[in-house]
Amino acid sequence: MYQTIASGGFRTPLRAIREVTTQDGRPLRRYALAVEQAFPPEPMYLITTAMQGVVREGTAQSLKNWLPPEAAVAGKTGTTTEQRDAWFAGFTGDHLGIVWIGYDDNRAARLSGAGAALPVWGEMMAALAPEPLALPKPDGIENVLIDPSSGLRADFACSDALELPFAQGSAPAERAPCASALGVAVEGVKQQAKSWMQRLFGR
Amino acid sequence: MLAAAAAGCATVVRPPGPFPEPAPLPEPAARTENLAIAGLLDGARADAAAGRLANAAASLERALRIEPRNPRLWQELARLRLKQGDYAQAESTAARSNSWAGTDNALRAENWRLIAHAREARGDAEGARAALDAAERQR
Repeated sequence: MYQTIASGGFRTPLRAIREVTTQDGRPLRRYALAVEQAFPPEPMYLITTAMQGVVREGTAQSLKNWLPPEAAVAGKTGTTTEQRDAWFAGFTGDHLGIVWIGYDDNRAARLSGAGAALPVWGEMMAALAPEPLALPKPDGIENVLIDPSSGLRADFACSDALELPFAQGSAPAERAPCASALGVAVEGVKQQAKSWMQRLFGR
Repeated sequence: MLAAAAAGCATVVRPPGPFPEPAPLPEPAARTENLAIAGLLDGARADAAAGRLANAAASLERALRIEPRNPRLWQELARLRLKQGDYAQAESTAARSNSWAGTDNALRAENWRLIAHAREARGDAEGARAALDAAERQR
């Protein structure tokens, strides 16, 4: 599942064996690389940026002890009911890893994802010198300035405004209390101009 | 060049028209290229031309392990899947190439043409037309 997300929607069945050969290297059987576009890139981009938020400012912040912010890791902590299991799933530009910690008889391990699984993941990944995660922004995504307290469209007048990605056309239409009609319209035009420039001169 | 696809032919896979020839390798400045990739790509093209399709695929897969985000390698693999008659894989692999293509409109257009071939080969004439339209739009 995470492999499909990490690859932007392209499911690639894992292969432990690529080829079976004779002792002098003649191939007897090959297992070819196969890809299937299971999802369009837009929802994968949104999930991935949300997962990057988890690492940047959410439950996986302690990952900074192992990997720098420039790595832009996407991650997800997990702690099951009654703290039975501790999970961490995350990916960088070139590696995906999932860590599970728990007992094999399903009793509570009394560990959290961030507390127990994340450090294992962090140490393992840091040793691999990962490439930063640099997602190409799909065509169907637009960035919109949002006021976090109301969840509505913001403009420069809103003090804590955040730029967030949305599937085109799905951003809230309503204006936040802190914004003005003119301000929101200006933001809209600025965003359109930015997308146009990006398309013309490179992403 | 697209042969008219018979709408009712659900059981016969129509062989596609002449395969698009691989584009000449672009200038090295256009991408991070290294000698290993160039060697593998040359080997793959030679194998493909000689009909050793599985060998060619193995070389391309090795090249992809070195540069997994190289859209030209993915496109080369898509072209090979067409030759191998694996049309579903040809389409997915060309789509994968597009996901890394960025603003390389010529490369995107070529991918859409490969997708059109693959769809036509599976009897999807409408899908093939849509893919050719998408190729035209990449300008």
